[in-house]
Amino acid sequence: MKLGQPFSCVAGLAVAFGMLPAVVQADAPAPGTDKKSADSKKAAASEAEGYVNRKMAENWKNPEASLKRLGAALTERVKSPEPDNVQKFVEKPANRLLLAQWMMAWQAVHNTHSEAIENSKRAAAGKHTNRDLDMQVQESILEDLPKGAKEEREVQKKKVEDIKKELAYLEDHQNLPWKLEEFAAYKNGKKLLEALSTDLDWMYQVVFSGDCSNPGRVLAVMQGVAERHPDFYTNRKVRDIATATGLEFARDCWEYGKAMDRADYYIRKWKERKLNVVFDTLPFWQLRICCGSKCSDGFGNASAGLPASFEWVQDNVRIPIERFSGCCWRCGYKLWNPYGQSVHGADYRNPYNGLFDSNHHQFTYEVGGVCGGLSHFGAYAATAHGVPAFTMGEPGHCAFILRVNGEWTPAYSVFWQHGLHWTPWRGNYRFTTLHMMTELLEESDARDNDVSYTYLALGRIYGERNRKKEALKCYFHAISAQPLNLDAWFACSRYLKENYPTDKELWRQLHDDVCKLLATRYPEVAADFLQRHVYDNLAKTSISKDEIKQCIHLFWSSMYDEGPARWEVGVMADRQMRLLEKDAVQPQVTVTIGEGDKKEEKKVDKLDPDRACYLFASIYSAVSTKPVIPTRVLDWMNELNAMHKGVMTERIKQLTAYFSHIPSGPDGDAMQNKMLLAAESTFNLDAFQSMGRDMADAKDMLSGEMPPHRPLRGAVMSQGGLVFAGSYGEADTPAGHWGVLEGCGGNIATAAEADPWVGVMLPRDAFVSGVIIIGPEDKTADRRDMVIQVSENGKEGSWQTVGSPLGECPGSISTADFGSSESKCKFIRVLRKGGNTPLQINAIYVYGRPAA
Amino acid sequence: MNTPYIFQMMNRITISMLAAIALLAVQPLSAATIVKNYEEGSKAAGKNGYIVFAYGANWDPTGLQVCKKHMESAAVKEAAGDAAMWTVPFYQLPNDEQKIDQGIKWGSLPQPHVFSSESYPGLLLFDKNGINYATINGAVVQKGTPEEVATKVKSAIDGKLKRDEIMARADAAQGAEKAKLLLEAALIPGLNRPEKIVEAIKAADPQNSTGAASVLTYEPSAKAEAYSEKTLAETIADMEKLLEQPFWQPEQRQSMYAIMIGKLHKEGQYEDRAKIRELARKMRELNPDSLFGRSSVVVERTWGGQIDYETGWSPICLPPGGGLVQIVGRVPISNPGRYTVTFVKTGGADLRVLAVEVHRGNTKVGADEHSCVVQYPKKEEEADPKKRTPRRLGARSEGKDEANVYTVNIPKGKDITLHVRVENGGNSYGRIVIRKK
Repeated sequence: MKLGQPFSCVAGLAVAFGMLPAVVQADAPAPGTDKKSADSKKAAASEAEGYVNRKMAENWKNPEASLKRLGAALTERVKSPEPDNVQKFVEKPANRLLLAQWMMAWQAVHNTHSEAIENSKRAAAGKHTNRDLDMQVQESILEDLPKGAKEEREVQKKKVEDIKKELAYLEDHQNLPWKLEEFAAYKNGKKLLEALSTDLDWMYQVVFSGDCSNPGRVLAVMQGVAERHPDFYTNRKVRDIATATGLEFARDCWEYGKAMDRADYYIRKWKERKLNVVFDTLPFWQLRICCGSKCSDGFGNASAGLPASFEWVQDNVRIPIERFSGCCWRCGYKLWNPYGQSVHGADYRNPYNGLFDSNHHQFTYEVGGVCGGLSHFGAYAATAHGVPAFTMGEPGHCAFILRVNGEWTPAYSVFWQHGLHWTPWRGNYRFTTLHMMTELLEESDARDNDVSYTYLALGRIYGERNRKKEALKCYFHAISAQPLNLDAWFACSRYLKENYPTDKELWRQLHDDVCKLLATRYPEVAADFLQRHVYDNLAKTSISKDEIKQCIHLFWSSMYDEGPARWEVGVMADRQMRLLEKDAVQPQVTVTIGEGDKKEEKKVDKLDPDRACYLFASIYSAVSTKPVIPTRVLDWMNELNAMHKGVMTERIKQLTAYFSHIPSGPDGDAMQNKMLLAAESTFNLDAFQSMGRDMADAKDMLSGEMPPHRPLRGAVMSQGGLVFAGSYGEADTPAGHWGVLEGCGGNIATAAEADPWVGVMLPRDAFVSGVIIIGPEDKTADRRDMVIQVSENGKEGSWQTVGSPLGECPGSISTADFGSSESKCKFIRVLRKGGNTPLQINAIYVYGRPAA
Repeated sequence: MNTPYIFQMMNRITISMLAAIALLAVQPLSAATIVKNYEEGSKAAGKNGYIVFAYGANWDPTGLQVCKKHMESAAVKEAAGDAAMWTVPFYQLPNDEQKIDQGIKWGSLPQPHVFSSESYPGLLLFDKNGINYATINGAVVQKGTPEEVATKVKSAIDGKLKRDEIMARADAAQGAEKAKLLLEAALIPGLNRPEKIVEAIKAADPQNSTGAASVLTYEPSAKAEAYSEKTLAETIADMEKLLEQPFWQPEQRQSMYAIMIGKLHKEGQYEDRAKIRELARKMRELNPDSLFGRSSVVVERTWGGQIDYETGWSPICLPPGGGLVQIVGRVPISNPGRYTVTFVKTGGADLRVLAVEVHRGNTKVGADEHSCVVQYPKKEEEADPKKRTPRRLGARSEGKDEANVYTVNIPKGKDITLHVRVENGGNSYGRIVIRKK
C-alpha cells in the first residue's frame, strides 16, 4: 500500500460520513427519571387505597374461555385502539382490574411450562424414594434404642418426624395444583382465588411485577401460607411475603415444602422485628428477590437460602446494609479443604456431611470456599436480613450484587462483565436490565405502564382474531407508550417473526424504534435485543447493504453514552460486522488470543480490513463526542487488530485522530488528556493502559528509573492497574500517569488543598501487605502525615484507613508495611492529612498477593 | 407540732445514708459502672477496661433492647468487675449527625473493620489502652440469657488477666523462654491474638527452635494445599515426621492426620481404607469436639472402606474384586432376635450380594448365604410412593422372589457385627434397611 493511500481511504470515508446526519447533539440531556404527572400521582393514590370489586369475580376453571371472555370485554371497553381511548380506559380502576385479570388468564394459557413441571415432579419423586429409605433407616434405629434412653429417643423421634414432614411436602409438591384451572377446582382454593382476582393492587403484584409462570402453583403456595398463618387476609405484609414466595418458587418449579419454609421464615422474622428495617418498605418486586433466594438441597453453594443457613446468618452476620458487600471476606478463600480435597469435587464437602445440617454459611465460614461459596455467603447473608441481593456471573468468576441506598452495588467483583443470575423476567440477563427494570417498576409513570400493557393485551387479542393490522399497530403502540417494557418488545418481535418474517419495512421500523426509544439510555439492553431478536430477521429481508449501514449508524448515534454500566460493545460490533454482509457465511481462521497461561486458540471470521475499518469509522464517527463510549469502541478495534497481528494499526490511528478531531500540538494533547482522565474517572482499565502507555511513549517517559527500594512481602500487585486522583493541579501531567505504577515511574499531582489523595485501582483484588510511595525529593514536606486507605469500589464513603500513619517523610521513599495484617481490597489510596499544598507522586507500588 | 425542717432533712439524709450503706453491702466492691460514652468510660474504668455493647442503631429494631438486657443484668455487671460499660450505636448509612453521635460514643476506641467477623448486637472488650482483646457476639448475645453472656465475659476477662501476667513474664525473659511464654499467651482461648506477636516470637527465637512461630502461622488448608501435588508416600512420610515434633497443638496434629487421610482416600488402594480408619480414630482422640474430631467420625464411616448404615454403600466401600465388608455406624441390632436385612439400589451399577454374615469378634456365628443381584425396582412400582417399601423396592434374582432380603439371627452378647459378602466392587450406590422381625 502506498503512503498516501490509507489517508485517502480515510478521507473517502470521511466524505461518506459527512453525508450522515448527526442524530445526537453533543450536549444531549443526561438520562433522568420521568416525572410523575399530578394525574398519575392521583391514580397511584387511589390504587394505594385498595380497589376491590367482588362483582368482577371470574370463574377460572377454564382459563382459555376466560381469556376469550375477558378479551372481548376489554376490546369492548376500549372501543378502538386509539391513544385517547386507551388513556381513558386505564384511568378507571375497574378497567385496570379487567386488564390484570386478562393478563392472568393469558399467563395461565401461555405461561404454564409443562416440561419443567414434569421434570420437577420427577426429581421430587426420586428424592421421595431416597428420603423414604432414610426414614426407614432412622425408624429402625429408633426401634432399636433402649426404652430408658429418653433423650436419645427424643432426638431420634424428631429426626423421623422431620423426614416424614419432608415426605409429605414432596407429595404435596407432586399433587398440589400447577395450573390455574387445577387450583380453581382445588377444594380450598375458591376463597383465595376470588380475593386475589378481584383486588386490583394484589393482581398488579401477581401479573405486573415480573415473571408469572405456572400461576396455579403460585396460588397453591399462597394457599399453603394462608392455611398456616391465620392473618394472611388481614396482614398486608404476610400476604405480600406469601405472594412473592409463590411467584418465585413457581417460576422455577422449586419444591413446595421449601416455599413453606421460606415464607414462614420471613413472616416470623418480620414479626419478631429481626430483619433490617429496609425490608419494611421494599418495593414488591424487590421482595421477590429476597423470597426467591436459592435453596437447593444438600449444602452446595445454592443451598445458601435454606432455613439452617438463614438462621445462622441471623445470629452471626447482623451488620449494616453497606457492609454486606465485604462480609464474604470473613470466610477463607480456600481452594483446598484441610483434607487436601479440591473445591472442584464432591470430596471438598463430604468429610463434613451431616455436621452442618445444610448450613452453607456456617460451612463456608468454618471450612472455606472459593468465589462461588463466598459470593453465595455474601448475597444470601443479605437476603436473610431482608436486603435484596443475588449472585451474578463474571468471566470465570462468581460475584454478587446488592441493593444499597438506592444503588445496585456489585460486590466481590473482579471484572466489569456481569451476567445476572436473577431478573424479573426471563429472556434477558444483561446487567443493565436490572437498572432498566428498577426504573420501570419503581420510577416510571404508572399510567404509561398501564397504557403499554393495555396495548400489549390488545395486540395479542387482535392477533388471536387474525386482525393483523390492528395487532401490529397495538404492538408498536405498546413499545412507544413505555419503552422500558421489555415484555412489549419481545411480544412485538415474536409477532413479526410469526406473521411478517421477511417484511423489510416492519423490521426496519422495529429496529429504528429500538434505537430511538431504548438505545438512548439503555444501549446494552437495546444491543442485546437487536442481536437476539432483530438482526437475524432483518438480514433475511430485502434490506440493502446501504440500508444496513444506516441502521448501524443509527444505533450508535442514538445512545447518549454507554448507559448505566459498561457493556460488551465489541460483541455488538462483531455482530454488526457480519450483518454488513447480510449474515453471509464467512471463511474461518484460527487466531491466538491471550498471553502466558491464558493463551488460547480460537476460530473467528476471516478479517476483511476494509469492512472492519469501515465499521469502526461508522461507529467512531457516531460516538466520538460522547464522554466514555469512544474508548470502549477503540478497545474493541485494538483487540480485533491485535488478534489479526496489527494489520490495521495505521488506519486505526488515522481514523481515530480524524474523528476525534485531534489536532497535533497542545490542542491535541488537551484532547488526549481529557480522554485519559475520562478513562480514569470511569475506572476503564483497558483504555487507561493502552492510552496511558501511548501517551507516555509519545512524551518519551518510558525510560525513567525510580530510586531502588527494599521490596515488601509478596509481589507487586499494582502494575497494570489504573491511577487516579481526587483532583488535578498545575503540576500534573496526564502523560505521566501510566508510569506511576510502572518501574519507569511517572508523575501525578493533585491540586493544592487539604486532604489530597492519589488512588490506585488494582488489576485484581489483592491482600495488600504494604505500599511504597516515591515522590520528588524536594517535596517531602508535602508528603508528611500520609495514611493508606482501602476500598472495595473506590467510591467516596467507602474508604477505610489501614495501618499506622506514615508520619514524617524522610526522603523520596515512604514505606507503609502492614506486616502480617493484610488488607483485602481492589482500590487503595494515599491520602495526605491536612495541609494546603499539592500531593505529587512519582510512583506507587502496592505489594501483596492475589485474593481471587 | 411540726418537726423543724432541719430535723426533717437530717432524717432524710440519715435514711438515705442507711439505704446507701445497705446497697453497698450487697454490691461487689468493684462493680462495673454503666456510663454514657467513651469520655465518661475512660474516667470510670478500672483495670478491666471497657466493655462496649454495640448495636444496630437505625437498622436493627431489637438490638439496643438486647444490649440493655445484658448490660443492666446483675450477672454481667458482676462478671465485668470494675470495667466501664456503655452502649454504642453502629449506624447504617450514617448522616453527619449520626457520624458525630457514633464518634462521641466510641471515642478513640477502634471500630470493627469491614472485613472482621462483626455482628450486632455484640460486646467488644477493650483494655485500658484501647486494644480490643475479645469480642462476644452471635447466638449467645441474640438468644442467650444474661448469665450465659456473663460467663463469656468472665472467661474473657480472666483470660486477659492471665495473658497479661504471662506477657509480663515474657517481657522479662529472653530467647527460647520468651518465645514459649509468648506462645502460651497467644494460645489462651477466646481472645483476639495480640498484634505483632508472631514478629515478637521470631525476634526472640529467630531459628524457630521452639516451633512457636510455626504453631502460630500454621494454616490447615494451606498445609493441605502444599501437599496436593506430592505423592502418597511423600505425604505420609512428611506428616509422620512432623507429628514427632512436640510443639504442635492438638488441632494442628489433627490437620496432619487429615492430610494423610485425604491422600489415602484419593490415591490409596482399597486396602488402605483400614489405615484411614486408624488415622481417623487417632484424630478423634486428640479432640473429639473440634471440627476435625467431629468430621473424623464421618470420614471413618464413609471413607473407611466399610458401609455406614445411615448412608449406605458407594463405590469406595466395595472391595474391587469382591469380599467381605462390615456394616458400621448406628446398626440397629442391639437386641437378640431375627432380623431382615434388605438391599436397595439407588444408583450406578447393580450389586451382586452373596451373603450376609453375623460375627462375634472375628468369628462367624451366623449367615444367610444366598446370592442376589440388587437392581432398580420394577417400573410400575416406582411411580407410586406408597408402594415403595424396601421389600418391594428390590431386585428379583435369578428365579427367586424377594431375594434382596436376607434374614439372620442376632445372638445375645457383645461384639456382634454384621457383614456383607459382595461378589464385585464397581460403581454402585444403595441403601440397607435392617428391621427386627
